[in-house]
Amino acid sequence: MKFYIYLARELFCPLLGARLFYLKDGKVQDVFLEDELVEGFELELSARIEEAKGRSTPGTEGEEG
Amino acid sequence: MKGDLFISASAGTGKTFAISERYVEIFEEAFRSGEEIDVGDVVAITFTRKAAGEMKERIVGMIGDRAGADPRWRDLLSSIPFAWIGTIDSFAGRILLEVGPSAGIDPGLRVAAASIYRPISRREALRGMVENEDLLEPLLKVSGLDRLLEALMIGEELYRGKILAARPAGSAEGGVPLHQDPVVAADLAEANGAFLSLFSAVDTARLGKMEREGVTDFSGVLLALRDLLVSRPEARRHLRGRFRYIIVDEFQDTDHLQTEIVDLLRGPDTRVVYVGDAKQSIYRFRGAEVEAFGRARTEVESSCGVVRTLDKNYRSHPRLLDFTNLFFSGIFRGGGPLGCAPVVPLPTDGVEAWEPRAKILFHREDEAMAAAVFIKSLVGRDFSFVERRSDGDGHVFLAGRRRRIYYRDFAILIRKLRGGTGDRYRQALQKMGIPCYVVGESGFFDLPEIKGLVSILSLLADPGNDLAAATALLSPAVGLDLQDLARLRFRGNFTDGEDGGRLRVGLIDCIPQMEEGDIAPGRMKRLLRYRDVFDRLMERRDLLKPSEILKEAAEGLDYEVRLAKIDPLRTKTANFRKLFEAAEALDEAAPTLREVVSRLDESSFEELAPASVESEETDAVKVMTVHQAKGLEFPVVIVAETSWSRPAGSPPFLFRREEGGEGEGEFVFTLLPKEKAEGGTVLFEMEEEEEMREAEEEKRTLYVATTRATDLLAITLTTPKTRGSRPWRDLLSGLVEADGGSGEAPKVGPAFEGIVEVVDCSAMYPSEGVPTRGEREPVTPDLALIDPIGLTHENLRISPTRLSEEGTNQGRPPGSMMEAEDDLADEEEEPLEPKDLGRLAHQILERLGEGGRTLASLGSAELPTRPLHLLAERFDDDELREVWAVLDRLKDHELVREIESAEEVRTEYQIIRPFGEDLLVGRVDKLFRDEEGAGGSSTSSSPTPPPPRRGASFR
Repeated sequence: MKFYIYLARELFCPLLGARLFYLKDGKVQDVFLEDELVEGFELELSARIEEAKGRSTPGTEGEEG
Repeated sequence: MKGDLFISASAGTGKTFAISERYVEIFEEAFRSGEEIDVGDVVAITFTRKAAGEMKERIVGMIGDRAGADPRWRDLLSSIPFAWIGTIDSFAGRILLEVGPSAGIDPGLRVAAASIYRPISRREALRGMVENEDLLEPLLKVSGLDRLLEALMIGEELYRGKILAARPAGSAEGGVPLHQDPVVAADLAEANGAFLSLFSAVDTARLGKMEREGVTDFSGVLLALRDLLVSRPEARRHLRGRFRYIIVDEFQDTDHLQTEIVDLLRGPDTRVVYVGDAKQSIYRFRGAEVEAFGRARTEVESSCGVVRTLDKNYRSHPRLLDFTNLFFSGIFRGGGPLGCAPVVPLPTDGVEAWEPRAKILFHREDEAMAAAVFIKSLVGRDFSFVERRSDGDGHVFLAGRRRRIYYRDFAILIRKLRGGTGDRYRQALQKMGIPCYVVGESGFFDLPEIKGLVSILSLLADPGNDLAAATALLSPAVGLDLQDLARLRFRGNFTDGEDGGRLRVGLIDCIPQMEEGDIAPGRMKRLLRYRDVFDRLMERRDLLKPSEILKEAAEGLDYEVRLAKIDPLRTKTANFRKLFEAAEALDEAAPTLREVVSRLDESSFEELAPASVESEETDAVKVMTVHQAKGLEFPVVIVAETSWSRPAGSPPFLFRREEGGEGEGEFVFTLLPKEKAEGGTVLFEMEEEEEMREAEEEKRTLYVATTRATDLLAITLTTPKTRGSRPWRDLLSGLVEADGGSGEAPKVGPAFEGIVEVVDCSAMYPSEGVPTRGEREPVTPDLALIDPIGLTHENLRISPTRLSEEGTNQGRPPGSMMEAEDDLADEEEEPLEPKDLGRLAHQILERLGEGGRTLASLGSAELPTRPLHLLAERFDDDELREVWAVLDRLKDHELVREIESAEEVRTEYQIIRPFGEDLLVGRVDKLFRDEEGAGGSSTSSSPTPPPPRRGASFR
């Protein structure tokens, strides 16, 4: 979920948070990504992406060449 | 209404409402007295198409309210599409279309864009100068060739009616010499006569040329109508008095020709309603005459008409009005039609924060920085805004509303965006991480991101069009630089023709000749992809509509993703989306692709302003000129670049209106000679008058700028600069005490204490005082695994939400650009699990809130409707009922209700943002604008994804 908030946080700045809606029981959970946690999240995301790239066949030229 | 009506309406006093109301009243009065009347009897002329649209909308609403039981109102409502509500040129065009053919006017005449008629004007002006040697000789004694050409061009475009109606100034006027040197005076008088003759010859030639090409310009339509009314008695008989009511909005910006047309059309029983505000007349540079407004008022008064002054302000916070009332009563001194009567605020209820709403943003030298620092210090804070409300009995009042300030609440208004001013502000704002948008620096179709894509239409219409090819290749669509383009051209030059000789091929055909290593591989790939898309479209270009071509090209080029990558602020993306909203208009523009292309920059698309002004997608500060802001309002306005100086140099000619015994008198025209005139001459008086009028105009531009604010006004100010005439700076200097050049922030002048506050931006740092967000404890669920799930083109797609499945990497090589995306986003790439009931629920909820749909209206366990979704077919009826049983329990859920009653709901809203070298793409299930955002520009959006992990959480 953090992923979505991270995506939306600049678009809808200041950040409003997001709301998880569990259809099964109607439970609602508000989710926030506080400023101080952003950096950690970015590192984590970056690591995950690198990991995923690593598991793919090594690439050819980059987009910008 | 027995006589004419004159409505003087200061900024924010509900002018559009008053005009619409008057329009409807005309019918009300007629219905009451049993008079025959229909929409063809009433004309309402506005200044812009946008204003015409707003007015029409409001009138339709008012008529709709009355249409209930009365068939006359219902008939009126159904005939509104034929109503004469529009701009003056569309009005003139419609009359010409009706009566023109019988008077020999081409009914196919179309108003051409400046890019079409300007070259014609220039050519004809040059030709006129060459062919009229005898006229040129006296002219060259007082003016250079360049200056003469400039005068002819400016005259054609802005003052044609006035020049044609003018008489040349003689060597003396009323006993006063034109110039102190008798020789210069005589030469000038001769040149003035010669200029008017030359102008008339050039004008005739130009009109003939344009007529042969079947085009005209804005004033051409008006002139044609004027000529028709003046020179064709049968047309005049037919048209004069045909309209029983003529309503003219923005009359303060009306020019000589427009006034003349209204006068010619008016019959003995015609009633005219003049509406406007002398303080908002800011189109003098286009020939507007604010004096006509004053004259109209005097005439209405003397002919026993009614003069109304609207003085209740519906727009701004009362404290803000304290400022504008006080400040402008000093600026527009004296009463009369051009004076400034104070406006009265609306009553308030629950409005708090009565501190000054007008701020001076002081920065020693950098006004752009002052604006940026100020914005940064406010965004994210809670602020008390005002909101117009009605109590149900028709009483309007202002209610207070606390909410956070967003970037989109701000508009920076500048007098002129010239010489890189827009860039300077953009840079200052971006330096502080403030998303911003400079409005209308270029036309919509001139924006690189739009031009790059749209040029494929030109290219398909004519593959040899190298200009279009170069535009596309240099644009974000391909992203080549000039060096690459030169290389491409170079390769193309080696293509051999069939006869063995060199054959010049179009740029687009040079692409296959490129060799490896010519340009960077990434660009090469995009170049080849462009060629590929082009080839595919070329085969079917006659079968596809322009909008379909654009859509296919955008998809083939992965254009949206590209734009998001190069423009993190998303304004390019917003423009791109806007193009598609408007693309259908292209389909209707003309029958053939070639014609569509030729009409792209015509007036029919002028309304397409670059995205941002009203786009809630772009949370960005707007930077625009005062003229662009006319008619708009913003919560926070920063009037910036107040130390702008008027460029040196004078206009090429001057006019003076001669007061005649009857009517308005005629214009006296003179060129400006190289020799400066001294006091005691007509020329000197005319120059003085011109300067005085210019100064008056700048008071009005400042008035328009400051009155755009609803909640907060800020005005940037630097230490006084000495050089040049600085009209705004001089006007504003009265707000503060003279500072003696210390560089310290000035103090508020005694008259404005408690009304204006000085903010010292030189000493402020952006992070200072910005509140940290969120008082609640953050909840941070685990980040799901990221797995690569497939590849398209060179993009590796990664899903953040796939949990434990093994990667389905196809083994093809990835590029460095990646998209992490919700697995719902691309259903082709992840096979549907047929028993996934969560997904079914998700599909049902897709329609929730759209077009006001409630969950109950979508179905229930008793009436288990199946969503209109292909994949929904995979579920059987029992499963469908099971899902509905769960959804039924949610019908009264607070969140469901919130979505149902939301102002605006988007489903599967895609968000793209760059992440280092990669791109993150995600779709939010439901995005809705809640109550807080209701009522216009101050919108707030809550990203709210309902079934977040469909299966997992639902089961």
